[in-house]
Amino acid sequence: MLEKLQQLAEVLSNLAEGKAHYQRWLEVARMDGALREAVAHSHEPETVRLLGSCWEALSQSKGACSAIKEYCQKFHHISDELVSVRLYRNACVRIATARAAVEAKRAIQDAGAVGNLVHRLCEGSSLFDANAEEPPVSRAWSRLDPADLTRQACAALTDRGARMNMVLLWTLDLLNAADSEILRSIRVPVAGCDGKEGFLLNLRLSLIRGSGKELVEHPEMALGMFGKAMLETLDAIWQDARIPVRWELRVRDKKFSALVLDGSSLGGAVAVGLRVLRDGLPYDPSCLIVAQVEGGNLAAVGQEKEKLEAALNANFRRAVVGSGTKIRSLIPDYAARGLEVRELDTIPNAVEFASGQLMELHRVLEVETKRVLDDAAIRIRDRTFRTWNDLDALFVDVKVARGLRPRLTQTEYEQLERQRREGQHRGLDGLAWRRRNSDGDGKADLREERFQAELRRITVYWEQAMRWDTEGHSARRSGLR
Amino acid sequence: MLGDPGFGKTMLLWHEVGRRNEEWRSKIERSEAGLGQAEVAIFVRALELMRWVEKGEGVLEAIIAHRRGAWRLSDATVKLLAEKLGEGAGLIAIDALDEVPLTLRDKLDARLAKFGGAHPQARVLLSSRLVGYTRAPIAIAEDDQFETLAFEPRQMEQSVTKWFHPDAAAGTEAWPHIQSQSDIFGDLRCPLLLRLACALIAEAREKGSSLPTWERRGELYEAFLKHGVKRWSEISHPGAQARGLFMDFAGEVALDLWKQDPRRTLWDEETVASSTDAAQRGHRALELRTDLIRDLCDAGILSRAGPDDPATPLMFTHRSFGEYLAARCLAERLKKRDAPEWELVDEKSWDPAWEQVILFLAGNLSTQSAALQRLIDELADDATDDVVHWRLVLATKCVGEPSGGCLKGSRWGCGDP
Repeated sequence: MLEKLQQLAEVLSNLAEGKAHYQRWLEVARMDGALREAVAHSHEPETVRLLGSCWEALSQSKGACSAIKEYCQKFHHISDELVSVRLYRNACVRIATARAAVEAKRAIQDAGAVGNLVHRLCEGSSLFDANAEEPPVSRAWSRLDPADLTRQACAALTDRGARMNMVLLWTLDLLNAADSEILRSIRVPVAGCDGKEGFLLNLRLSLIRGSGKELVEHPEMALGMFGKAMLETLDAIWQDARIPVRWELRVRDKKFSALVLDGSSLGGAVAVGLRVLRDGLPYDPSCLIVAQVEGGNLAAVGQEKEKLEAALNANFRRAVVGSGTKIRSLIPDYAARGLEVRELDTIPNAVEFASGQLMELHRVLEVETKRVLDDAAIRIRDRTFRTWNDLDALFVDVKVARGLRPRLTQTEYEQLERQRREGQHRGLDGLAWRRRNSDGDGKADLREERFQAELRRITVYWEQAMRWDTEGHSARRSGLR
Repeated sequence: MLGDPGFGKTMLLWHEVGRRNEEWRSKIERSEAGLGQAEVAIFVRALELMRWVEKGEGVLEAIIAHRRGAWRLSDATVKLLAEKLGEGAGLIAIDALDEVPLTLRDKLDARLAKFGGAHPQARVLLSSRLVGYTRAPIAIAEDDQFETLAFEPRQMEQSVTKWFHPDAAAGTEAWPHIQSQSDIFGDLRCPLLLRLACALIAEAREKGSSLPTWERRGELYEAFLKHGVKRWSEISHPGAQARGLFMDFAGEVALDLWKQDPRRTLWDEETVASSTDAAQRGHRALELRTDLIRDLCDAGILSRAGPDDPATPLMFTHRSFGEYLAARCLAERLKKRDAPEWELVDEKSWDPAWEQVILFLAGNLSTQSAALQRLIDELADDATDDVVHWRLVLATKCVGEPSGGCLKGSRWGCGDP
């Protein structure tokens, strides 16, 4: 039942004791499944035991740490301590937060687990700075659900000076409750290069609740390899902004997923993304920034051509290159191929380029929705419409009949002519009456659905009709499209 | 989008514009849509658009020129927006084509046709009343014209529940009560009437009084409009006499405006002022009121079609409110056998724009069976009808309007209304 967790505990134990080859670290790096399995079986004592064993193997012996270093050096040829320290720390925090998540779930039935939770959270935060003093356990906590209990405990630890953003987010992630901590997310495209081939990545920056003391990694890429230059660039640019952010970097094409991402060329995109996030602006995801940050300004990076080609292949419409770009003479060619490339030297200019027009479009959408709400407020006096949801809540999907009510058929016209020649002038009434009187009760209302078949019309729900529109099924100009 | 009054055409247009804009706004905020993908939907009344294009501007240019101030856009974004709307990456929803006076309709139709020709990919959603509609101004396929149908009971229940949300108990009480209104249950399949009924039920619940019942749709309008007058009197304290006469006064204003032009939905303040002035003279209790236009607005009968400014034209909050009030006034006048309004009804019965007024009139004549029979007799007279029996059809519709039983014994009474 706890197969993955058992395997993880065994690998970690062997690495700690120096019995396993360093390459088995790759199994540890894929620990996410094992941790989720543990949280799913939090009620079992074996889960607690196995997670405890993982924690001991990682934190209380030097073996695991040495294995990581060896892995970085021999497998990736990276000897920077920053890289291996990050991996080691992240592995420890992942295990600590899994233990915390398990205790948070156990606390529903076992009040004693609340104290364990606080202890596990402290262990996690101690990896960032000195141990924070454990807060007293409040009785009120025992009535909370696992996610709220975790939040309360982390808040109490934060009050005592601990850095809890990452620990809280990673614990909540395992409890499937991290989304509530995300205030807003933007996706910033970034370009990389592998030899002569450019490729694209998505950098997702999420503004999170809490103080600006930490730059938080997404837990799913916490054990992925990133080079020293990239990590330092991220940290340096974040230091300028100091807003609580979680970051996540993923290649778009799996072909490049084994690469160790490194270099400073994502600096421009990060700097612009953080400003956009800080100032509540939108970011145009079809705008690529191919620039690094030097002395607070945007500067050119290597392999611009390859990166811009990747952007063109992915139908990007706009790109920024840093000051001193080597592709200046090619800018008109790119424009002819549908990519507007702009050489910009400052971050504010790049922010304006990446979000200015989109912000204007956003404003148009707001103004037009407001106009609809104002119009509705005039027509529906006994309601207030502050937001779109207030009006939308009143909407009931109506049925509509396709086509106009049919005119008479040729046969019907001929029949009428014959009747008139015979002196009968009420033929039209008769025809209309027959159409309206199909069930013989004489109360037909042509606006009722049951009469539409007789009128040779099909009926559909309005939403269904408009779905055709969205899916582009209708080739004609109409309300449908 | 075609439909009878109150069948939710405007609601559908609001829904389409609002939901699209909200969807794209949310995508932009989540970085899921950029300049290339984002779409924009715009809602505009046909009459408003007609005024803009009257001076020669094209449809797209006029919309952008008149909205640009509120949008605060750079030239580059204006260009982008025009491209999007012209190339189908957006929606222009034009409400109530039927509200454009016939004399100006050709001009608007020509502009729309020109826009359609120049921008074959553009997405346009038009709405119009069914009566008087012949064709769309932009070339479209026959079956891309839709007619809104009456609510089915399931949709009625949904609508009642939504109206009372989050008060589930109120919704649970209201729906069976509405179902028990057998005389007008069919009428309540019209979304607007159902909404009015819900508002009146909500008011009764608030006061702790018994839930209201209705025998005909006119009673719903009467009750709802009186509810508005009551609210006005609570704010303005006009005195009991003025309050009692206010509906009659509003009816005279409505009839006067309808006589001037039944297709018109927006009136400038001067025109309305002239009508209120004339009606005020006949109601001494209202002589002391200094701003009767404001009073009509406060009672929810009239509204400004935009910002609260004297330059903003006025309209009936719902077109059918004006139609009901005009009919109410006509019914009062038709109490006299030799009233000149009999001629007016005879003349206007040919005009589709008067159809609803005449139907409401039949309902309002419920207590005057002689006048009601005369109305139906005159409309149904074969000698004054034409080959398509327009007036006979209208007479038939009138038979269904009054309260049950008031035509009993006459040639039009069938015992079961």
